[in-house]
Amino acid sequence: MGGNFTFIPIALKRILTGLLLVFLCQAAMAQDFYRISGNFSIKSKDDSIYSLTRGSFYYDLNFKKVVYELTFPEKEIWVLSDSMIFRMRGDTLFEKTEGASIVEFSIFHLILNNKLHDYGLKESIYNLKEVEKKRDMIIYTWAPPMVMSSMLGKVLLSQQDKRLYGLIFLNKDEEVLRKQFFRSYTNISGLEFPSEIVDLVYVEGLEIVQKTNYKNIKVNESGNNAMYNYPIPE
Amino acid sequence: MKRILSLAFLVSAFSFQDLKADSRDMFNFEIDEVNTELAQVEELDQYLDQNENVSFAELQVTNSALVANVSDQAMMSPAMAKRHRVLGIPSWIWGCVFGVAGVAIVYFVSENKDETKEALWGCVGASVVGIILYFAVFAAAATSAASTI
Repeated sequence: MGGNFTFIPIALKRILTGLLLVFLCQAAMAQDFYRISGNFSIKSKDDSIYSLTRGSFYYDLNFKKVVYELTFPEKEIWVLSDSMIFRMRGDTLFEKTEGASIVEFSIFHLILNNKLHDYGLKESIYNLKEVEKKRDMIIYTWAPPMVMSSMLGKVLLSQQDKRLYGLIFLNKDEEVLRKQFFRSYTNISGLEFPSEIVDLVYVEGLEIVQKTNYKNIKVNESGNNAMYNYPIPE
Repeated sequence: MKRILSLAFLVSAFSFQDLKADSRDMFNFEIDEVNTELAQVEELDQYLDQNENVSFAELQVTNSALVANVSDQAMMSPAMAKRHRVLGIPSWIWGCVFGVAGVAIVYFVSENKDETKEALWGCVGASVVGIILYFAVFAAAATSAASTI
């Protein structure tokens, strides 16, 4: 009997220790990610013209600016802010383009916010219409609201192993506009990052092929604030 | 509203390809085909891994085969392929048809120096053709007048 009494607290202690370890591991995994940087290389072919763009990228959730420091084909800085794209060569503003807010749909923003798996669609105007299990994939069909269905088409999103695998943007007639594939995920300090993204875009009967590779990814880098919060020229 | 515009931008910035298939099949793609398509720039990328500070201009002079058919412009997104065109019309046509006014439209609307340069070349090209035609017509008229006399 006495042996049983001593066995129970030991077993309980082991269970509690195990639970504590699991809790600590989860707490460590759930640490806040706020900053990401690395090197990129974008290769593309548009009709018969090739293109190669290389450099480094920086993104900090607090500043909400995607900063690209290009080294090829020319040394340039690109800053994507809320609704503008700035291109700078040296200290000179070379180009300023107005556009929609693209920062919130950049993979850096989605990854740091743990939203890449659904591409942020869950919090967008799109509604989830269908979920299908097709062999090794789960395919989600997202539809725009009725009032916008004459303008926008559906978005098909596929996941493999709970990770975003592919996106297909359709027009209102269900014709394919663009396909994106997210491949070769790497785990950096608990953050899943697709180190290769393939983009197939259909423009005026042509297919534009683009492949983006990322490497030397750093998460929550201390220092280098000047790049993460690159000043936008007036 | 911003999200609506962003998604509309992502979707509508492109034209389309007809494809009606099973949803799983729509996600089929061959990475080998993509790699074959991009083999030339892959070689250039590997070269730059070894020679990081080489610029495009230097390569053009010293190793032109690597940059043959390679654009000297940075391409961050496939959407950029038609981004700068004013009303989707090539910039040289603006310069060619509307002259200096066309160049000004491209300059103020696209705010892009390369597009403005293209419009300017269109304008210059149209002017040169105009001058040649003018002299050709003038010479033909003079010749026919001389032969009449």
